[in-house]
Amino acid sequence: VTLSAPRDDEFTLLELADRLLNKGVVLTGEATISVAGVDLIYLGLNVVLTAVENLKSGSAAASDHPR
Amino acid sequence: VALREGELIAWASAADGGDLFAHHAVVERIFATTRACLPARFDTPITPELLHDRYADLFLALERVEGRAELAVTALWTSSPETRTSGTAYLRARAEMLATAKHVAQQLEDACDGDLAAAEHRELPSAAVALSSALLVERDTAAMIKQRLTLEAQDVRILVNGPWPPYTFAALGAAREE
Repeated sequence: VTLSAPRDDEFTLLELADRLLNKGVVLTGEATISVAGVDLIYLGLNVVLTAVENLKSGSAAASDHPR
Repeated sequence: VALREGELIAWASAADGGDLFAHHAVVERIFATTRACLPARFDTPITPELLHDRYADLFLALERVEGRAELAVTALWTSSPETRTSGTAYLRARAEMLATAKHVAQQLEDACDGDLAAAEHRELPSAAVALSSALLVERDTAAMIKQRLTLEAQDVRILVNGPWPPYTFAALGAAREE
């Protein structure tokens, strides 16, 4: 993946991942995943996939609630 | 598991299962078979207590998205922005790009005509993207509107995705204009 010339399907993936991670109902506190006001999703696809992994491992360890 | 509270059902998976796009696949399946579906953010916890406490908010939010879907529009710059060294030139270019993005946002809303229930625009989210928009439209007309949105605009190319479950418009207690 290069940020200089991403294909259309990569933008589709970014838009979708942005919604899955930053939008939708949250019943506990709101937590937007962003760095210095920039939504993380737009920093690049690799960063996002890493962030998702972090999110999964972090929450699996921290949460006893079913999703 | 399905949690039930009054007229609401919350579908949840076990805490150690699923990934981002598996979550989306489940949401899409439920979305396809119900008129009112409120997608949850990925990896958000839910308990019967939370469902009970937020029942009224959830019900209102469900009513807002009932029968509706989200179209995702990405406006991509057709030429890569130059690297500018002077601060003044940078600010001027940035202002021009912002104006273009706002203009495209207006064009999108105009193209929806009276069929737009709500819209959220994000201008200049990244170097390659002029505008990222979420448009809440009636499901029945979403495909038709999607075709209308592929409009010709100067300096940008329009990419339309969806209809998707209304992720962007699912926030609780958000008093959006309709």
